This record gives sequence, C-alpha cells and structure tokens, in this order.
Amino acid sequence: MTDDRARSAGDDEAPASQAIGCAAAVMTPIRAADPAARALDDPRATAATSGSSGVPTAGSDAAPTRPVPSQLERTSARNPAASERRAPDPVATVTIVAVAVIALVLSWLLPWWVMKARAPQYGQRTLVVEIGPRTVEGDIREIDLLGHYVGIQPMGTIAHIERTIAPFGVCATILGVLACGFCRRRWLRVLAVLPAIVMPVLVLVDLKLWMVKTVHDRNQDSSLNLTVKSIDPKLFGEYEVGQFKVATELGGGFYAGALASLLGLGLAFAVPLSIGRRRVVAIVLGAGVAATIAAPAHAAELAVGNGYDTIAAAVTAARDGDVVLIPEGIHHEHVTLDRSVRLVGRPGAVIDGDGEGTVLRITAPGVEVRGLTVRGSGSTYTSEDTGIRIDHAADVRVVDTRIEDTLFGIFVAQGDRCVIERSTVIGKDLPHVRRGDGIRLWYSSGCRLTGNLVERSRDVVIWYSSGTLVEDNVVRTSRYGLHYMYSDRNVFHRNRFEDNQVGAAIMYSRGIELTENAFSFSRGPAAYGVLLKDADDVFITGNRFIENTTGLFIDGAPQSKDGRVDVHGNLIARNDVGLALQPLSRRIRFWENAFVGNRGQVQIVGTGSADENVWAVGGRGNYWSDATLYDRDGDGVSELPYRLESTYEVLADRYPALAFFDATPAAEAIDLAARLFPIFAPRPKLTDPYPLVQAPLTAWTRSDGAATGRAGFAVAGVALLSLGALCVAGGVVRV
Amino acid sequence: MTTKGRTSAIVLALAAAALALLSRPATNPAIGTSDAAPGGNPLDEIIQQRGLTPDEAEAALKTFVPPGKYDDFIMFTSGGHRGTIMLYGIPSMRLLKEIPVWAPDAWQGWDQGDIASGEIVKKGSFGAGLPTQTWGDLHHPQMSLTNGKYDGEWVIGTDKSAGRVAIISLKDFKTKSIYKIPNIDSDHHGVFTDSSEYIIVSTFFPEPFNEPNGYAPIEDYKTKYKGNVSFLKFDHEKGRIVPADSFQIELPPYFQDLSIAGRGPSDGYFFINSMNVEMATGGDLEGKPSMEIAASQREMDYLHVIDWKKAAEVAKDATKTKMINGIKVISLPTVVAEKLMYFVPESKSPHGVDLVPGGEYVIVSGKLDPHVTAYSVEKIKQAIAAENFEGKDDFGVPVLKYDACVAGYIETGLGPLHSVFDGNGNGYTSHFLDSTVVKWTIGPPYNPPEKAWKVVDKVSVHYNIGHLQAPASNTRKPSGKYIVALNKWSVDRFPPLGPLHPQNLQLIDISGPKMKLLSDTPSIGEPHNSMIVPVELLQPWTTYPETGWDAIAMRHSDHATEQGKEAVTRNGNTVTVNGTLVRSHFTPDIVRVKEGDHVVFNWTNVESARDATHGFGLHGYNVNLSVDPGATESAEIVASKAGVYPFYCTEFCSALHMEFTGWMLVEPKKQEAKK
Repeated sequence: MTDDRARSAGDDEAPASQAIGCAAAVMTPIRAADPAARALDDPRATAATSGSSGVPTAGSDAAPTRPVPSQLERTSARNPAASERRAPDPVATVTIVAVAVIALVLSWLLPWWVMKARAPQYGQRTLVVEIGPRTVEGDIREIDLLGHYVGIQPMGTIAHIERTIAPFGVCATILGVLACGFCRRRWLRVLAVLPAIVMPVLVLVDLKLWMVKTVHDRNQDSSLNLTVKSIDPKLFGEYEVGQFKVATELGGGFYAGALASLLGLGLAFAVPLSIGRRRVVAIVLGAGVAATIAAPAHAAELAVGNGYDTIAAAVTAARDGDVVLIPEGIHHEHVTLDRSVRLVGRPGAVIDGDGEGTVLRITAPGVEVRGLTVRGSGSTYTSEDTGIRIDHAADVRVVDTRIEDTLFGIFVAQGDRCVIERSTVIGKDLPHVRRGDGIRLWYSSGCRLTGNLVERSRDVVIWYSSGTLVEDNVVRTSRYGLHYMYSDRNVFHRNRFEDNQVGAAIMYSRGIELTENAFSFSRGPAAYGVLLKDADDVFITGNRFIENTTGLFIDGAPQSKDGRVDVHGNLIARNDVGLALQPLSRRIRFWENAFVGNRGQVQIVGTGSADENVWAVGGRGNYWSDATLYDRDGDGVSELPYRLESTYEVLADRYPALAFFDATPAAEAIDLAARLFPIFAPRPKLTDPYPLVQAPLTAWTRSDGAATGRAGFAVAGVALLSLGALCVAGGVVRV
Repeated sequence: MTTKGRTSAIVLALAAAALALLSRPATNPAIGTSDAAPGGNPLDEIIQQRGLTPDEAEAALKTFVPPGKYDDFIMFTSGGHRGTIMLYGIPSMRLLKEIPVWAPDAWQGWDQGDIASGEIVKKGSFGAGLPTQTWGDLHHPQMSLTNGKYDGEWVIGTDKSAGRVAIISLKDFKTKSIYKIPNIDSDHHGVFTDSSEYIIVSTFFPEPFNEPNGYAPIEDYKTKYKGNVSFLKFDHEKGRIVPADSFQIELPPYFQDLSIAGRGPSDGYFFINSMNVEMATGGDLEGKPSMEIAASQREMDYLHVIDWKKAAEVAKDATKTKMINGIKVISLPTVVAEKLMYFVPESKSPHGVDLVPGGEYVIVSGKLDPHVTAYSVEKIKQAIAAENFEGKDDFGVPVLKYDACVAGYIETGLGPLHSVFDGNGNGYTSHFLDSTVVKWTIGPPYNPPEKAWKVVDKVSVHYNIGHLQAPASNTRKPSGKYIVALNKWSVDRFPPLGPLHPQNLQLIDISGPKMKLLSDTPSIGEPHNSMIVPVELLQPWTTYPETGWDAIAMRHSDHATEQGKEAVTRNGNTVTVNGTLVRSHFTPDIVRVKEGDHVVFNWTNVESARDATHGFGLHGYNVNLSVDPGATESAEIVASKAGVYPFYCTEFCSALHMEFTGWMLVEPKKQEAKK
C-alpha cells in the first residue's frame, strides 16, 4: 500500500517519499557512490525503502500542505540527469526541515530522560521523574526527600544554568534548522544545523556529568550515609540506592531530538531553498500579527476600578495567566491570590491592610506581584501577620514591590524557586524584640533574593532552604542581618549587612559562598559580622568586616573530615575582635586577608591555639596592621613571621577596665610588664609564617560604601555645576 | 618616635597604673601579681613551675577542699540515660555518690537479684505486654519543698523515656518507689508545688491515651492525640504518690516540656513551655517535611498558664472528670469551660521556663531568639481578668495578648536556654550558641526600673552549655556564690580517651561583680540538669536506725533475723535462709538445697558501725546484695542447675574479709529420679 501511495505521490510531482529517499541519500553520501545507493536516487526505486523506514507519517502528511515546489524543484524532478548528479529535490529539503522542526517541537514537549524508582515504603507506587528541556516533572518532592537521606541535593537546584538557557537553545536550534534550508553555502548550512546535531549528545553528556557530580557532592552528614556508602547512577539501565530500585531510560523527547539531529545532518547536504522577498515580508508580518493577537487572547488584563470594585473581585474573575492591574490609590483590602495571576500595580498603587492580619497571601504557583506597595499588616506573632505571604506555592515572583509597616515583610513557606527582586521591606516602628522578619524563607529551595532592601526588621531568615542566591541586597538596622540554618549550597554575593544587632549567623549548613559582602557596624552585646557555626565547605572571599563587636566568629567549622573553610582576601578592620576562633575550628585556611586595627586581631576562645589552622597559602599569609615586618627581598612577604601572643587581650578579657587603655601605649606597657614579670606566661596564639607587607585590598574591600556615596555626590555636584555654568555661559552668549 | 624619652616615661607610668589595676581583683596579693621576683615567695615558685596564670592560682585556692573537710554545697545531677543521680561536692567538684534509679547497679545491689528493688523496677515499668524496663533517661532531679524552700527530705527524678517518677529518700539516699504514670509514656520534667502538695509532671509526647488500646493512626494526630499534665498527690510524710487523689489535665497535642510551679504572687499557677504548636508529625519518608522542619514553621509557641488550685477543685467533682486507665482526667473541653488554662505566646522552641525567687516574673528563653523574655505574673493575671485575648488556639484555649503580659526583654546573646538566680537580684542565662553564661538584672522590686533587665556580665564556658544551676536557685531563697555550667561538649578540655567524650561541668564563682571560671569537671552520664543545696540541709542516717531495717518500707523488716536465730527452713520445695552478716562471716555459711528448689535468702547485717557494709555475691545466679549496717536485704533464686556455688562478701570489710565466704550446695535431682 505504501508502494502505491508513493507511486501516486510521485505522479503528483510532490513526492514525499522521494524527498525522504533523498534525505536518506544525502545522509549517506559515501555509500551513494556504489550502484545500490545510486539506485536510491531513482524516485521509484526509493519507494520501498521509504515505506519501511519508519519515518513518522506526519512528515509525509505535512509535505503536500507546504507551498508548491519551486521551478527548480520541478526541473530536477523531471530531469533524471539532475538526479544522477545527486542534486536533491527542494521538496525533499522542505520536508526534511518540516519533519526536523516538528521533531524539535516534540522534543521540547516530551521528556528526554525518565527515571522510575520503586521502594517498599511506596508499595505499588512507582515514583517517576521526567526530565525535559522545559521542566523536571513528576514525583520530585518524594525523590528529593529520599535523596536528602543519602545527601543528594534537591532536583530543583540542579542544572540551573542549563534550564535557564534551554528555551533559548531549543529556539536557536529550530531557527537554525529553518535557516539552514535557505543557506546557499554548505558550511553555513552545517553551522546552522550544528545545534540540532549536537543537542542530544550535549544533553546526555550534561545529564551524565550532573549525575556524577550530584553523587560525588553528597552531603556527608545525611542520615543514611552509613548504610548507603556509594551510589552508582546510570544514564540507562537499572541500579540500586539502598532499598530503592531505580530504572532509567531515554524519553520520547530524546528520540525526537535524535531524529532532528539526523535530519539536520541530512539538511546540511540538501538543496538550498529560496523564497521571494515579498513572501518573507508576508510571513514575518503574518507571524507578527498572529503573535499580537494570540498573546492578549492568552493573558487577559483585568483592571481594578474598571468593572471590578475590588482587587479581590478582579482576582476572582481572573483566570490563570491573566493580569490584574491595580490603579493608583490606596486600596484597603486583604487579598488572597489563589490562581496564577500577575498582580501589577500602576505607580502609586497601595494595598493597605489597615493594621490587621496578613495583607497579601499567595497560594497559587507562578504568581507575579509587581510595582505595588503593600503595607499595614497586623502585629500579632501568633497569626504571623505579614505583608506578603507565599504559602505552598512555587515559582512566585515579587518584583519592584515595597512593603511597609508590616510585622513580617515577605514570608515564604514552602515556596520553591521564588524570586524576590528589587523590593523594599521596612518593618514596623517597634523595638527589635517586637519586630518580625523582613524576609523569611522557610523550606523553600531554589529561591533568588536580589537587589532588595530590608530595614528596621528583625531578621532575614533562610531555614531549610537550599540553593538560594542572595545577591545585591542591603539589610540594615535589623536584628540578624541573616539568620541562616540547615540550608545548603547557597550563594551570597555583594550584599551589605549593616547596623544590625547580631549580624549574619550561618549555622548547620554546607556549601556556602560569601563573596564581596560587607558586614559592618554590628554592635549588639553578642554581635558578629558573621557567625559561622557547624558548617562545611564555606568560602569567604573578598568581604569586608568592619566595626563589629566581633568581625568573624567561627565555631565548629569545618565540622566534617572532608569539609573546607577558606577565608581569603577579606578586610577585617576596626572590630573589637577581628576574628574569634572556638577550639573546634580547625583546618581553616586564612590567606591574603587584611587584619587592620582590630582591638584584638584574633581571639582564641577556650584552651585552643589557632595553629591548627593554616595561616598562609602558596607562600602568602595575611596582612596584620600590628606586625613587625621585614622584607629584605622586596617580594611583598615579610621574612619575619607574625606571632600573635599578646597578653593584653587575655587581660582585657579578664579586666574590662583595661579596655580603657585601648589603642594606647598602655596596652604595649602591659605586654612589657608581662615580659618583665614572667608570672604571666603569654601563650602563643598563632603564627603567620608569611605576613604580607601591604594590605591586599581589592576594589571591593577598599571601597567604603559611605565614601562611594560621597564620591558619587561629588561627581554629580561637579556635573551639575558644570551644566549650570554652561547654561549661564550659553545665556551670556545668547544675550 | 621623635620624643623618645617622653614616650617611655608615659609608657612606664601607665605600666605602673596597669599593674595597680591588675593586682586589685586578686584576693591574695602574694599570689596575684606580687612584687616578688622569681625565686622569692615559694607559692610564686609553684605557680611559675606549673605555668599558672594569677586567675588559675586564685581558682585553685578557691576550689581546694583540704583533707578531712567538707564541701559547702551538694549538687544533685541527673545521669541522663545512665539512669542515675550523681552527687558532687561544691566547690571541690568531687563526685561523692551515684544513686541508682532506673538501671541496675551491682555495687549498691540495686535490681541485681534484690527482691525489693526488683519489684520497684518491675512495678515502675510499662506493664503487661512490655518487658521490664531496666534503663531510663533521668532528667532534672528536684527536691521536695516546704514553704517554697528545699526541705532536705525527698528528691524526685523523671524519665523522658518512660513517663514515670522515682522518689528518693534523703535519709539513706535510696530510691523508694517508682510510679508509672498512667496515660503518658514520657516525662521530661516534674516539679513540686510550693509546699509539695503535688508533683506536677508534664509529658513530652502527646498520645491517643483516650482511644481504645491507646492507638490511633498518626493521621488523626490533631483530633485523637492529646498532651497531658499530671498532678500527682504527694504524701510528704511517707514520700509516696497517692494515685487516688491524683488527676490529669488533657492538653492540646503540643509537646509540653519544662514547667515551673508558682510561688508568692504566682502561687497556684503552673507554667509549662510548649513546642510544636504546628502539630507536626514528621513522616519524612512518606513525603512530608521531617519533624524538625515542620515544627519550626511558626513564629511562636505557647506558654501554658494553668490555675492548678482551681483545677484541683474541679478534679474533686466526679461529674467533671473521667477515669482513664485508673486516673481522673479533666478533658480539654472542660479545661476550657472551667477556665483552667490560658496561653501566652512565647518565642519559638523555648527551653527554660524559670521563676524569679519571689515568683513575680516568669523567665522564658526561645533558643532561636537572642532575647530572654520576662513575663509579669501580675500582668498575666490582669490580662486573664480583663479577658485581653489575642485569639484562641484550635482547641478553644484563649491566647492572652503577648504585649499585655511582657514585663521586659533582655538581649543576652545567641541560643539562650535556661536561667537561674542568685538571691541578689540577678539572673544568669546559659547560651548554647555563644557558649556563654550571661548575668542580668531582674526587674523591680529586685532592682530599680532604670537598672532592670540589663546585661551586666558575661563569661565564656566550654562548650555548648545546656542547663546551668545555682544553689537553691529554684526556691524563695537562693544562696548565690556559685554557678555550675553543664556543658554538652568538652571538646578539648580533657585528654581524649576514645571517641566518647565526657560532658564538662564548669564551676563559676559568682560572689563578686565579675563571674570567674574556677574549674572543669568531666561528667559521668549525661547531666541534663541539677539541683544544688547547702550541705547542712542534708541530715541523713549514717547507719540504719534499727537492726533489721527494711530500707524500702522504711521500717523494721518482716524478714529481719537476730543474731543467734539464724535458720534454714524448708516448706515444700521452697527453702528460706534467714541469716546474718557480721565481720567476717555469714551465718549460715553452708546452704544445702536441691536442684529445682526455690531459694529465698534474707540477710541481715547486724552491725551498727559506720561503713561496715557487707555484700552477698552469689556465683552462678546473677545475684549481688549490698547490705548496709542494720539493713535486711533479700534475694530469690530458683536453684535451676546442680553444683557447688560459693558466695562471698563483695565489700572489703575487715582483715579477714577474704575469709568472709560460704557455699550453696545444689544437690542434683536425678539421684531422686533414679530411686
């Protein structure tokens, strides 16, 4: 039957089967040299091959609906000589492109890789996780929970970059395939289809790498690590993790992608197409019009005040994906967003809870809140009165929003992958102890906090929330700038924690990067720039610790045998105590830090000595403002080691009256006294073998926020003055 | 550097000033900084040789108790899951005694073949269907009170692993009874009321005790599981619990934890900390957040305020109670209807709830909040009277308005847990995260308002402190002077002797304006909490008042044997040995029985000399009795295997101790069978 159909198709001068045959031919250019292969070029001879090649009929169906083949096609179809020169039919090219594009679209929609897991505790149920370019779907919560027992990080936190670029990648691939058809030069064609060709391989390689990495980076403290010693994951096939039997296989998406890949290869050798300029314009215009019509049809806009008296009414009328617009003005409401809408405030739009309860509650995934001011929550702890509360809803975004006069600012409870961006939280004017948290993440993984300002609150809390990115935020005049526990693999970058009571406390976690943050002016009785307790794999690089009661306090870190803590390139200056080390803090590497003018540079708590830590890496130690230095060879490293054995600190600890003598010659005098009366045997605290001659400051550690501000003002002032001068000058000239 | 001469003059002058300052705090100038050059004062030489700092030398002098002298205070410390109570002397921190409670102790013959202690342990276990529990997790020893002061009569221990109370007499420092509390399987903490009318015990784990078979699926947690607080009537004279006059109050299924009974203005009230008001149940392998995650979700937990005197009245009304498993229970709806209980919001996951000496303020620390919160009892009472409620919990219990109950906050540090008091208007709070003890001032009338709720001093402890204790802290009249910090980890404080490290008991001097660390002492077992009393308060017997004393019943024993009346009697296949012990022989020293006989030994130590304790260690039958002077102790065995079994005195007692022996001859049965 396929034979007949192919034949009739060939008679109609639109031979789909022929096209596919050609595709097969171009895919095997070498074989085309032998007679059997050459026979394939004969349209009638190919019919049988195509019929049994198992190519989806979608391709054959699609071909006739395409624009009528061009002149060139017709000639080549009629001209057997052309066939013999293996110049394929343009129809073939169109078909290949069409099939490849359809395959790519399918690959976008279908899972690429499927993992099925079974375990006794789930009975007959099989846990399935499907990984595709769009999403990771299925029983992720269950798998994550199981993973946490053997120290595997939540799936939502894996391959973040890949998942971000996936849509662009697939779009590029499709565009490449489309473009390929029109490229005249073969190398251009190869280039255009290259993404399609390599994508399946890349995906598999990436997946495998992630699997290896995830297994390798297992959290050593997980409860079942004793029983599950090693995990050997497989890309395809079966393996066991504890009592779990896991089977993995490739999904439909992969096969579709692989098909597109093969077709792409063929396409590189197919005949180029050409389209008239007018048609191009028409297609572009048509697509544009279709897009503009389709987009609003998909997401309706509901404006409050225009048919809806209240925000709640508009939300009730909205469907998933709709936009609810809030006009300027104060809306006295408590709103619950229970569907995936975008709540967008016009400038001056305010939702005011009038000092009662929680103002805005989000219970649906994918909600976006933008450009609003939310204010006036209640102030009752037991009901946790909040500005914006995200409750069991993933992928919520809060952007450009201002939250004022609330007990809690933003409270995220089980809201994975939430994004809080460029928002401001200013708490109620209450004493510290009566405030709520500015931002609180509880059990919400994969979130991003970027560019926010939190003031006059209690804490920024991150608990049980892994894979968080905290970047460019400012937390001021609060209690804990950061209160961070049981959360792994988080990144803190360029944040400023200032004037807080306690500072940043980071506890019971693994995998934390602190880079280029400023921890300053934490001045409470138990205040720290950063308090680090029982944590592993912490990298503290290029931060500023300035004017705190204690700059950096480390206790019980690293806590695991293979855990690491690196403190590198930080500026620790003008604190009462620069660095405080509890005796369980061992194997920490300190290098190229600048300890400048701290009242006590390093405090060793308890009986310990700091010598179990590393004070120089690669022949470079730290800069100590109180060091006696001698650098004969001028390599910037002193030949005299720095020994911290000041008795003064020990005494000041004991007799706070001595603090009076701070930074005076008296402190030195007491050290002198100690040497005169050896009854105070000074106990050496640490030795830096390679102290630096100059403070190794980076642009970030050198810059002081306030100074930058002043410099900015100065520049702006000069600019304004110049402008004024120009205007005046201009006026003078005109006059 | 330009005016070198002037600089050095200033330096020298300041050095002199600094030295003057240094020498001031030292008690003994000869030890302190001293003007003596090395080689002068012999004490200084010792100090130098041992490399001591002045503070260390001072601490050594303060804690040294000369040979033959006694310590000033005795600390009763829980042994945790070692199941004992330890007694330490303060300031020497010498371990003086260990009282066996939940677990067998061979030295003291506790549950080691001894009939009486065996029965106590068996009776204090879960009961039918479950094995006799020979371990327990002893928490928080407490002493009986008379008019709000320690009276030196009885000490109780609670068991977090089983829900039972042990009562120890301070006449002979022995456990007298174990009461398994019905309906609860765990009690972390129990306290005496102001005059020991009741022992009040809050349970930790809620359970479906009101359901058939005590079972309900965990999915029904909110509806069928209940918290519980037990009011156990205490017979102060006999040191026994009177179950018939005891009652329980059903509570919401939160974790009711530490508690304190009121005194003075708070007399009649009972305060309990709670956790997990989220009512999380765990289920991490079933797709739910694990327990600690779910139970830390909410901002506040509830301080339970119970009017226990009113509750005791309600309990007398049979229409308002229900008998459940042999104890009267006031149901939660009745509790709400009778207005017996109110909640006050408290910082999440609190540890300590402590009462200032006069009973005016309740001090609570939520371990995740760097503040200690002081609630005013007066304000709580006013809020109750004015019905100043913030709302109600899921079970209808009114929640008092937080701000209306708070008297003050003290910002003390990270991870505050427990507070104790010194009798001079100061409180001391332990900080787990900071590893510190922080001293602060209590509000009026202890200190004028402008000086109230302020931190005045802080000392580092090593490391991760849990509880801390001060002499008679939990009474109307604390003694001050010392604090003992019970640190969970010792890390590097003692030479490592294997991977299980002791905890560290640190003695701190609080007699001056600055706290001073005096000494480290390794613990045995896990000292959760302790209680410190002046040594004079304890007036125990040094030997038993009569010969033939039943230590459990605290009277003359029914099985006592006078010297000269020793006998071995047979009744059927039961052989009873009524014997005596005296330096240096057993009477009888030969006991003849037949295989399969039931043998009862009643040994009376007929001596009345201090220290003349004898043992009865019987080979093969897992028996060791410790028979104190005057005491009668009994053991019971089945002579299951024929043979010759020596017995001997296990306590070295005399020059002829090695001869203090005897034989049990078990004649084989089969000879009879052959006949």
